[in-house]
Amino acid sequence: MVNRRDEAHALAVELVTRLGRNLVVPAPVIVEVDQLARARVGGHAARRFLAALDTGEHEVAYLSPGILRRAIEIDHRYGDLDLGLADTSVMALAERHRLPILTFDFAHFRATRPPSGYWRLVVDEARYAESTGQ
Amino acid sequence: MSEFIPTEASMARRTINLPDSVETIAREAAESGESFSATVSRLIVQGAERANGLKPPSYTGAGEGPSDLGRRAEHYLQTLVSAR
Repeated sequence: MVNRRDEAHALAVELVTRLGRNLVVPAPVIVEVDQLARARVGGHAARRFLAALDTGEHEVAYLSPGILRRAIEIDHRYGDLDLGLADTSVMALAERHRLPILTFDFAHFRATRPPSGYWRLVVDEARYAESTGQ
Repeated sequence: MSEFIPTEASMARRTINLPDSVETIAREAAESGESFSATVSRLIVQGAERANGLKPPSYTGAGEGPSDLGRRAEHYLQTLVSAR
């Protein structure tokens, strides 16, 4: 979203605009986006993202002890994938609240699954490919 | 006896007065299991979006980075960690 040169920028803008305040951003994801944006896009972009969260453009989900525990369990279970807390916090929240997941990281979210069924992804590989020509 | 000490966040209230006719509309629009407050909040958001149109988040297109940053975020994150 912050990176206007991203091949999926138009798709991301369309989706996130539509979701708006219904988009829940787990706290560990904020840290990940902040670091990635500062390293690869620029501090200005990262600060714009953080300011948007501060003004409530999206909902921030702070991890409860139960969600954190579940995220750690998922990370441990799929240790060979080296998922990390950002991804596993998304999974734990999606599992607890039965939420769909907006991600372009298909590999990790296809390689794992909730206790029953599969993760519901807002965008699948076909839609991504259609939108980006990849 | 248990005591419940509400946090500041859970104490947040915004008091508004709804005419009976508006309250009726809100109650009719309630989704299954949804509280009245949640219904009113949802309807206000929907109404504001219709009135003002959807706007992209304020940080949209704030900078320029690699074209594959979103798709290969994990790769770039690992590069960051390895560089430390």
